[in-house]
Amino acid sequence: VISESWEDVFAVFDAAVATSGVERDALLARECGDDAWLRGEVESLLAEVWRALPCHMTRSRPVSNRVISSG
Amino acid sequence: MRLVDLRRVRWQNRIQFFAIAARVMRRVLVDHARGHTALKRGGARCRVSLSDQVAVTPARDIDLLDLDAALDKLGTTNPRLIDLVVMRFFGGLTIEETAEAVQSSPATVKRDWIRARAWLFRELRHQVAARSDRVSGRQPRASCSRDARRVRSPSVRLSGSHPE
Repeated sequence: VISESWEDVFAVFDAAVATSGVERDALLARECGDDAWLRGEVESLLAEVWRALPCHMTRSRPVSNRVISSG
Repeated sequence: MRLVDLRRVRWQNRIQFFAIAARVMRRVLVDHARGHTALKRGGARCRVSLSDQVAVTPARDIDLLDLDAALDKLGTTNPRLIDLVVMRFFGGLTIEETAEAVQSSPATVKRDWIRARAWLFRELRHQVAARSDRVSGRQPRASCSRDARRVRSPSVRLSGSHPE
């Protein structure tokens, strides 16, 4: 059950990490639905990827930053 | 020093040697860091960089003991990712070498490396925040761990997103 849960998180993360902006928001809404925990986990992981990227490689600011800053 | 008994290991190839050496290196460095910290008693802790050898990204300074604790925690939720991190970080193996060592594809290892780094960076951030809270006497911040989840919704999967 635990690993399934994390596989869910990483499955959405894998797909979302290659997207940004509106495309990412749409993907998260579609895949997470009303599962707030799943979306929070994915967004906080995406925020770490965002932080690791040099400024010139980022295309738009992700929603995920709001999750970390509010925590 | 907690080393493997080298006389009982049959090396399959050079990659397997480095994979095992990476685990030994983790133990040696962490033991050294613990000794260093004990000597200092509240002084500076050993800091290292968790840089990405796949893409060009800035290295981050992290505490070695924090990383060791985070790896242990990673083992409780994603045990498959530990070996990968140890080989990449402590052994310096490339994506291709790691893939050979774990008998997987480079694409899968690269995907797992991105997963592991994101998870570890987040965990390390939580550790630093928790330590800061303890020092300042603040209440611990909300955890993002699986245990914090109250309701488990139906499984969500992305078809075709798991190239195993």
